[in-house]
Amino acid sequence: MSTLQHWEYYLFVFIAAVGVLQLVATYRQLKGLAFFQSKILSYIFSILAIGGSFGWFFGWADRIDTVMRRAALEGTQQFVYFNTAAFLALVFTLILSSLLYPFRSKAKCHQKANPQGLGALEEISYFEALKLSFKPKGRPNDTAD
Amino acid sequence: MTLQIDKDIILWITSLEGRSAILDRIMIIMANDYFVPVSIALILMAIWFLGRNAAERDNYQRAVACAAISIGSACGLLLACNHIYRHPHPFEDMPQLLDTVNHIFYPIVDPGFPSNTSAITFAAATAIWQRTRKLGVLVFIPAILMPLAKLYAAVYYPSDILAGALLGILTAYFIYKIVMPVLGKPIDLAFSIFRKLCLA
Repeated sequence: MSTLQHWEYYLFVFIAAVGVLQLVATYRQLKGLAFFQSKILSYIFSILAIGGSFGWFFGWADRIDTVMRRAALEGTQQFVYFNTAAFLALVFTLILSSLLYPFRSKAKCHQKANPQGLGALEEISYFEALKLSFKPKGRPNDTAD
Repeated sequence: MTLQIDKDIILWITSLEGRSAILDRIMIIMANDYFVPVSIALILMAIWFLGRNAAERDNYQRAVACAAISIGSACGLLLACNHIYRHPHPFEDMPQLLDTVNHIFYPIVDPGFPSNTSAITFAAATAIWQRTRKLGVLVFIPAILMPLAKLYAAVYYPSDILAGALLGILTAYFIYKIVMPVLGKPIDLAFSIFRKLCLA
C-alpha cells in the first residue's frame, strides 16, 4: 500500500512557498526579492508555481482519493517539514534573486533614503541590503554610484 | 456523553452527502489534512511580506508572530483538554456513518473533543483578525471551511467544532491582549534582529 512520501510534501511546500514569495514580491514591488523584471512574467511564474505544486500534490495519481485517505504525516511532522521547506524556499529566493539582480536591473541603484529592513528590498538586492545593514555607521554610502 | 442535538445535527448534515458530486468534492478537498493547513500557513507567510510601508509591515508581522504563538499555545491547551475529557467520534457512536467518513475523509484516531482542526485554524485567523480585519477575513474563510468539512464527513460533532473554535479564539485573544505585551521586549529584540537581517 503506497503512502504519502515525506519528500513529496517537502517539494510541494518548497515550490508553493517560492511561488508565494514571488507573488508578494511582485505585488509589493520588492524588486530585490523578485526573479524577473517583468511583472507579467513574475505573476505567471507565481501562478504556475502555486497552482502547479497544489495540482501535482493533490491531483497526481488521484492521491487525494487514495493515500490521503489515511493518516500519513502527523501534525508535528507537518509543522517541522513545513517550516523547514518554507525556510529553504526563502533562502533559495533570497540567493537567486540577489544573483539575478545585476542582470535584470538596467539602471544603477538609486537609493533615496537608505531604507532599512525589508523596505530596502524595494530598491536593492538582498545581498546589497545585507551589506548596507551591517556596514559600520558613519561611513559614506558607496553603493549609490 | 454525547448530546442528542449533536447527533441530530450530524445525522442531518451527513444526509447531504452523496447528493451533489461537486459539494462532496469540495468537502473532500477542504477536509484533507494538508490543503487548508498549508494554505493558511502560506497566507501567513505572504502576510509577513505584504505591508505597504514600515508601519504596516510591522503591524502585519506582529500579527503573524501572534498567530504562530497562538497556534502553539492552542496545541498545548488541546493536549491538556484531551487528557481531561474524551468522548467518541460520531462514527464510533453511529457505525452507519462509517461509509460517509470513508467517502469524504478517514476515521481518525485523535481525540474528538475539542476539535484540533477548529482550534488551530481559528487561533490563526483570530490572531490575524485582531490586527488587520481584511486579512483576518482571508484567513477565516479556510478556517471555517475545514471544520465544516470535517462535520460533513462525520468526523466531529458540532460541539467538538464549537469547543475547538472557542478554544482557538480565546487563546488568540489572550495571547494578543496579555502574552504579546508581556513578551514585548523579547519580541522587539527578535524583530530588530529580523530587521537587521532585512527580513522584517
